[in-house]
Amino acid sequence: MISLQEILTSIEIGLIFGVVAIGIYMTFRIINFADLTCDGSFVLGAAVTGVLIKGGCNPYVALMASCCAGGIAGLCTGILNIKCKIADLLAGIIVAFIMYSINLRIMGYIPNITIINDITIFSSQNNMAILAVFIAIIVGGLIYLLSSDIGLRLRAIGYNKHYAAVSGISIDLFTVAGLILSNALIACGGGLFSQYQGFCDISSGIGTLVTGLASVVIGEKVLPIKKEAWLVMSCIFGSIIYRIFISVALHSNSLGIKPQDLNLVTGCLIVIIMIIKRREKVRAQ
Amino acid sequence: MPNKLILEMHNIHVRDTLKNLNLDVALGEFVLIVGANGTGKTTLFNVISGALPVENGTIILNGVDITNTPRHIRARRISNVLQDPRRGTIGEMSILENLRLAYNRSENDIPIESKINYFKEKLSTVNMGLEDRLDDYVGNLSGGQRQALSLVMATITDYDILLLDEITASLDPRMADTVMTITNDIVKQEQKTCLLITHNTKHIDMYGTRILKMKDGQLMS
Repeated sequence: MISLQEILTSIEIGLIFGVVAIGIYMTFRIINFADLTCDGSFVLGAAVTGVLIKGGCNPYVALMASCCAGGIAGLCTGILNIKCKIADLLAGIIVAFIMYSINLRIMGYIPNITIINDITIFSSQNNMAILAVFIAIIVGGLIYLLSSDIGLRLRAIGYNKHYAAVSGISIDLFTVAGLILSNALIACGGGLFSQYQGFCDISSGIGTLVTGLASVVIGEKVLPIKKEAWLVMSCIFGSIIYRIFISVALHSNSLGIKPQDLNLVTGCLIVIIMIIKRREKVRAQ
Repeated sequence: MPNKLILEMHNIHVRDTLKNLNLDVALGEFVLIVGANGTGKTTLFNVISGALPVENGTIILNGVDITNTPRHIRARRISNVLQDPRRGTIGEMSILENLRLAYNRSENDIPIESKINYFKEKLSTVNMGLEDRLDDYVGNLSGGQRQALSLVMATITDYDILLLDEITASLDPRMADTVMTITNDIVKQEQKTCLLITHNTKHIDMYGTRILKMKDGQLMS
């Protein structure tokens, strides 16, 4: 049976991955760009944070540096897509592929860095409060941005690229801006996760996209309100629910599920949600 | 004395669709463009709005050479209403958000309260009660209401020329007449220049100061 402490831990990890889910929501839902850079930018954020903290840097400054690094990764995907005319999926795959070598280089060719004995934002032991403040700032900032004129333009290119062009929006500029913002958030999530865990690992980004998408889809199901503020919040709720679900599933001895079955459980969860959503859509029509 | 020229197109060549096309449009003209499908009418609009680059020729708008000006910059002076109102508006956004988006083309900025009053005033010109439904999602509007909104969005900021691409093609005859009347009123009231592509013979007889026929990639009177 799952303990209260494990549920609290799931909520904390859910909050961290909520930032990642918002980043994925930015590209997949807001600007309608299938960006696969996230598996690379998540590790990039973790690597930059890990190396800087190991070098004695302030953990908040390290997080900001992670965001900037993630933004640069998003910029690279944008340039490949817009200037080199490489399809969105492929551009993201290429950048994520390249990121593996860059991340290893950043980490000094060591596959993992331990920062468990260094000062992180979680050193004060009050993890939940710190994460709540962090999430409030990010969510508040994003809601403000999305309801502003700039946010309106970002949303317009996702909903209707044709009209966006007619209404004088530079599609290229706003696509790149969306990618920078998305990957900065994902890298921020990576930085937060490495500080939370006390280490960063070169393979920690595997499955970032799938777990992020799972959170987005669950969130949309739990909070089916079309207002932007709710949609951003739904990513956080979706991420928390996803983490609790996984935790409960892995602790259900009667089901015989082992930690190694994580991907199987995640995949099945996404498939079930997609089937439910599809059926509801058909029923509505 | 003739009005000054607002649009000048010289020797425009695009693929095999437009062949050395020339067009001069004076300020305040309402030009109807007719012709069979596939003769290049929509291509002509795409070239004017910057969606398609020209292989040869020059485009001058209000005295400024815009041949190489990007589409999003041209959109500040060239307004468009598209054939399908679902493409010309954003169904997932509210009427207010659509209008804000359209107003963003303008370089002027006014406080949001004044903006809302201005939007309501503009919406009231189309007589569809849209001014009382600012928070409604555009996806919930009928085709005619959406096209009327699209027209308001196109004319909400100052512009040099209005491009209307078969704007009544997807509407029933009654709604098509209503939208055309609204269009004509707006263009006359604001004394603006307008190009309209149409196949509707009734509209050809009723509106326009000049009719041009597109044939084999060229325009003729």
